[in-house]
Amino acid sequence: MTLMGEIEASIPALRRYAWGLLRNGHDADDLVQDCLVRALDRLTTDAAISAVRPWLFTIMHNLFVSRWRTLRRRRDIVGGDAEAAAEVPVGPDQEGALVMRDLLAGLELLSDDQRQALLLVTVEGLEYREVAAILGIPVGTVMSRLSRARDNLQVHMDGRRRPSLRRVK
Amino acid sequence: MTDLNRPVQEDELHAYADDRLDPARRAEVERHLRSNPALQRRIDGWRQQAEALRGALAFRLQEPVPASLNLGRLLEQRITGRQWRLFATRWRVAAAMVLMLGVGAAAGWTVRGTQRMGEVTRLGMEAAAAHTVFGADPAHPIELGPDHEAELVAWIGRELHRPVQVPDLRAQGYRLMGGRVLSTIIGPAAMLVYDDAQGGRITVFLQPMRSDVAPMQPVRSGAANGYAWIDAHMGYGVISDGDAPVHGLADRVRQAMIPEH
Repeated sequence: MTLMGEIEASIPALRRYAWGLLRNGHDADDLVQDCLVRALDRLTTDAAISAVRPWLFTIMHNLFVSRWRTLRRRRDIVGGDAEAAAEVPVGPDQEGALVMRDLLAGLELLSDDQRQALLLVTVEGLEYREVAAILGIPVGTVMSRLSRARDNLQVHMDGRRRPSLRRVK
Repeated sequence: MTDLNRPVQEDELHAYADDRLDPARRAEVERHLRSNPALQRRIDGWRQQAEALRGALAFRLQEPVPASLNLGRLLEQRITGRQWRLFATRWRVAAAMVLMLGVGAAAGWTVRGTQRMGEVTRLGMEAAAAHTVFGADPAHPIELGPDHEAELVAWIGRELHRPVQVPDLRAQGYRLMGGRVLSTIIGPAAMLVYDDAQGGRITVFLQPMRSDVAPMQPVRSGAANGYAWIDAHMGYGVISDGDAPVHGLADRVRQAMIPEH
């Protein structure tokens, strides 16, 4: 695949990760567009791009870090997790919709650092060392953020699930 | 080689949950989990989360990619010119700032309704955007460095159609790094970037304005803050990051730029 073809093929994953970071479709696509423009600028200047996807995620991470304050403040005012949940299509089953909403609310509660590690590992399926390179941190730090993210999200989900389990009994 | 009987580490539990362990070690971890049902439940929970997250975000993979992210189009726009791109990026930043200024107004921040105050507000936004996009860029804040001050002054003067001076802020602890000409929605502008001994940066923004004078007005936008004003049809912005006090600097710039004051 050509370099351009590989970039093109990565766009859906970039859109998915950007949404996970911002939980707002418009902001996420703005971030992806900035990322692609930046990537096109760097095609000729960045030394050998060995793996396109991690390279793109690194560019996007850096853009996110340099802009996150603005975007997050904007989102706090605009909507929060209820609005984020409204963007995610769910099936007709109401229980599924509730679980989805809990999951997104849980994701919202994580720190940016934890959310990034969790999404890059579990959703994007990147290697731990790739995630470390993207976030600019040691692998050990990726593992500890991942661990805290998983346990925090679990505590949140368990807390939310209990009443519904009692109902099922 | 590796000792298969060594105690199972936390990191290995994650690697196991993510299916990233080699088969020999995986078998070892599985054995360990059989005697630790609580740990097994914890890992099952992680796996369910991962599955749920993938499911929740899958819609972004299935959606058609919007035209704004079409690579061919972005490439074409890029070839059409660097100016366009600067405009696009700056426009988005400015748009975000309009929103934040609006929010500031709602929170009691004063944006007075007169034409002139609107002009200074916009000037402040442009200055803050220039600082955020270029002034704070670690790699390329400027086009021409301090070694080319005369060239820089000539360039800015040519583009802004009037002579400009580079204020000397060394007494305030700031050294000129350089500057550049910018394009904005209403026309050309220029910025000068200075840094102090700790690497803290400030941007002095210059733009010809329609109004003759306007009083100094605070600018706050995201992490950028400072002051903007108009003197003799020239708009000025002095912007810094964070909470560094810039009022004194703004006064100093004002004096330097209008020596007859």
